[in-house]
Amino acid sequence: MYLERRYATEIPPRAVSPLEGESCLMMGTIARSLWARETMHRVPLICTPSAADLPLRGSSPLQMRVLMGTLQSHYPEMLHRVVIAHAPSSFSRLFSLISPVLNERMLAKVGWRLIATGMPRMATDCK
Amino acid sequence: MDSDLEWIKEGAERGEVDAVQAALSAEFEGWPAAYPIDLTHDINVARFLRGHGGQASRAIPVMIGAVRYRSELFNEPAVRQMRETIGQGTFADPLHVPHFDELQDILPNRCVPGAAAGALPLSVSPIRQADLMMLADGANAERDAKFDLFFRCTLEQRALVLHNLSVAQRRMVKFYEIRDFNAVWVSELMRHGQYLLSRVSPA
Repeated sequence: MYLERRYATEIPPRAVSPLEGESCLMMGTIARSLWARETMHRVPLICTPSAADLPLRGSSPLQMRVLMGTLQSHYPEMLHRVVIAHAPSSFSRLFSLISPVLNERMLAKVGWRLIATGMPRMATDCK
Repeated sequence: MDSDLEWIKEGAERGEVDAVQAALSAEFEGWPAAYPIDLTHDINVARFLRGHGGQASRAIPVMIGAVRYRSELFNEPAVRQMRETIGQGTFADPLHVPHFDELQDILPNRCVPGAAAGALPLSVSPIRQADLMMLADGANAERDAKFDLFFRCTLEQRALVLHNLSVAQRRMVKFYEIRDFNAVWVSELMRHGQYLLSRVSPA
């Protein structure tokens, strides 16, 4: 409940719609499935631009490669797992374009759950 | 506990950690005393080792590059200020990242206190909130410079906070990331970003 409340209150006004509200609720459910428990002490969220954002930015390709290199070379082993929630069936296509800039170890940490079947997949299965 | 999250393994890793530290001492004058603790700490060295097969020979050149990069980054006033603000903090507040006010509606990362399994920090990003039109809106030098600083500061903030948490909890704290693709049309993502996607892929 805590996450759902925070999630709902911190999303900016432009995002508020019935769809967003429902989505926030679903995200709360997903997040709770990762929860060990409702934490006694609050541990922070860490804000992270990642590969899913970068290819769509207005940055030059050279800059993006440099930034991805920065992430993977200069800050290793910061990420434990990436979960792509509500991935549409066509997500594999998108990921195939992003994955070449990720190293093997990063790829092994990425998994997603398809929205249609609910079946989990790992990025490494799609290579 | 996942072995990837364990503190430095004295038996298996100590020798390699010491080898990396010795190489860094030889490479950088004043190492480690003249550098920030989150850069020089053995737990940071252990991250490089675990990311490179546990071999000092592979980790050393990468970490030398990282130390050079981050040392240069620390000269940036905005980075210095952000690091001072965080200090020993264990919360990565995006409000401390330069240009967050301007970019928060374009990049959909949101701050939600809480923890994932294993009490690890959690990052949640509803992708549908990305401003696709803005993101796909070609090159813009001023905005790119802001993105660049924003991105680099975010990584730096994250590294510092994870280090603080690691020392406090005596384990290698990492984070979970959830990317929510609910109500996201991949075709739309690809249409807006196709040109840049094609250019970001290796030749």
